[in-house]
Amino acid sequence: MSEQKKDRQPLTEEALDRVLSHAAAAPADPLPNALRSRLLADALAQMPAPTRPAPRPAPGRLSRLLAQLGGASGMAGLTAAGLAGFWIGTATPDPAGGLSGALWQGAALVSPSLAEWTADAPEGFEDDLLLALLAGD
Amino acid sequence: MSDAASPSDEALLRRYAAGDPEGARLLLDRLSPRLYRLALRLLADRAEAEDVVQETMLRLWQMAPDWQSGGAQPGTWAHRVAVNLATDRLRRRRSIALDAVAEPADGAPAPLQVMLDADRETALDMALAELPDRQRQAVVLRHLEGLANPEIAEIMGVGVEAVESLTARGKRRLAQLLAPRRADLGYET
Repeated sequence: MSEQKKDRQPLTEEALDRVLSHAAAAPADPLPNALRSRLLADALAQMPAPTRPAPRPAPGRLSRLLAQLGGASGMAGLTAAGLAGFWIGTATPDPAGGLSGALWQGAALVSPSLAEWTADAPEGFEDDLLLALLAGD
Repeated sequence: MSDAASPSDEALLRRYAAGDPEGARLLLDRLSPRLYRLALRLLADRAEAEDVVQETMLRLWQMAPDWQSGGAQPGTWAHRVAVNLATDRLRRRRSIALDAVAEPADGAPAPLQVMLDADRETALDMALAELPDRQRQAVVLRHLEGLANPEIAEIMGVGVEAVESLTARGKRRLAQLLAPRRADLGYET
């Protein structure tokens, strides 16, 4: 095959792959120092300011009042006391009559009516005398 | 891929955005040599390649505070910007050349034949320069930068099939362009 004819024949795929592999493996031109310096200067010039934690705001009136009341634990105690007071104030207590009934119920059972007293009274016992005793005369 | 000793590009960019200059240095030293090599391959001009790298990195720093997770990795994003900037420069260069340079006379030697004393790498660079922009990008990213087709597709903004097609056509054309340079390439095939 003449040289001219051969020059018109494309490289085989194998040959082209070897050319490309050789070029890919070749050491790359190092980054010029001057370029690196410029890139670093650009980066630092564009860099946002370092982020710091946000400063704590000055305590307001409510914060100061809470502190004077003992902080969170003090407020918890106050809340518990308030709730207890509210409950005592709103809960319906047992009527006092029920209590006295419970206390006096036994006495009532052992306390027969006046008619029973008089019925069981010994012979010759006078009602009037018993009534007078009960009246404290 | 990253671990504690080698943080991801995105982690470094976040450190930079938080005001950590070390994040900038590490990311710069990781990305800029690759970008420089890519730009040099596409443009075959050191000064222009440096400009492309500087512009690309500047845009990355400016993007850093608003960088969105889950999208492209900073390295892929930077490759895309560099490829686009290089393409713009090639188009400008081409339009200037068309305006400024007289049409070659019939029978004038092709640019590749003029470079009789060029070495293998120059022959390849010259042949790459003859390729259409998209074919050159695909061939350089795939065969010289060693990127995978899905990443090239992301960089070039096309599908994987389009990348395969561009690469195949680019290689066919390269094989034709390099044919007269067999001796320079050292492959008598």
